[in-house]
Amino acid sequence: MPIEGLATQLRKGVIEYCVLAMLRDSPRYGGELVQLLRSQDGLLTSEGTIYPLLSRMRAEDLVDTEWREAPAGSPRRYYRLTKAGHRAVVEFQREWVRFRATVDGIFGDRGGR
Amino acid sequence: MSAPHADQLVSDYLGRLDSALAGLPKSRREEILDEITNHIAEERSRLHDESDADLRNLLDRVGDPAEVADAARDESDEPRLPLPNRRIGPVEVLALVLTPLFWPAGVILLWLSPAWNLRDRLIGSLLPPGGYIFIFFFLPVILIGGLQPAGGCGTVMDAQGNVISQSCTGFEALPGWQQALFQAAGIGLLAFLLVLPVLTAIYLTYRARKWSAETAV
Repeated sequence: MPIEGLATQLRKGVIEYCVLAMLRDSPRYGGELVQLLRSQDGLLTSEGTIYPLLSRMRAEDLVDTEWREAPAGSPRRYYRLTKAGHRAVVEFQREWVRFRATVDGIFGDRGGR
Repeated sequence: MSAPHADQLVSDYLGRLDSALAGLPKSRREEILDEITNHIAEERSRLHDESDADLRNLLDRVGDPAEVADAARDESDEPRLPLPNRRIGPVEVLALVLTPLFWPAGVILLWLSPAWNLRDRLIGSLLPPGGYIFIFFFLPVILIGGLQPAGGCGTVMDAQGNVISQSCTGFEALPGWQQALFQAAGIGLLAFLLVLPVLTAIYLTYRARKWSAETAV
């Protein structure tokens, strides 16, 4: 598998949970999430693709939404974790810790070379 | 300051995105388009001195409309049904023609085509079962056997041929008005059975057209 494809596959697997985790503390609107993700290297290649993701998570009831007035311009749609969303974050975190330990155990300290 | 054709750049972008999202459920498409429209507007308001280059960079960051649409299709839990799959094709046309005229072949196609649901298929198969074949081969039997029940009139005559008495049994024994009623009911039933396959075909055509229109979102 070409290395670019590998990064895409890994990203696809985790981005949903990263977005959910960013909503743990407070509801956020799309542009805010994009800014947070922008500072994380390689998580979001095209900013627009977060909206299909949010739309799907809303359909699956992992998040719900609420319109709030913006300081200027049109109102913003804020995304908020639902109970199911909270559960998904907790489950992912548990899985991820185990998974990372397994992979690290196999690669040892030779990472990055 | 806004570049003279900045708005044009943005509306071109949104137009391309809208076309790229074609085929997705309407609500999903509107939601994504709406959010990205707002996203671009907010990002633009952060640009101090909006040049064409700034705006193009901004749109590049949002992403190629095709890429966003691909992501939307990947995320969409709706099965991806390309429009051609929901066109009324030769199978549907043959099913509609053959169901009344050549029932067995028509009904097989009716059950094979995705254009009809279970209720439509049952209606197509059973109203009437056999289509016109059933009507032309079996209806006369039913009409003769069922609506003109066994019976008749016996006449007793004397040696000169004068009628002494006449007695009727069964259907013939009924008063004239009841006989007329039976015959009218028979003719009515016959007429109904003759138009029934046509009515069924019209109904099935309506359902198939509705089915093929459903994806035109």
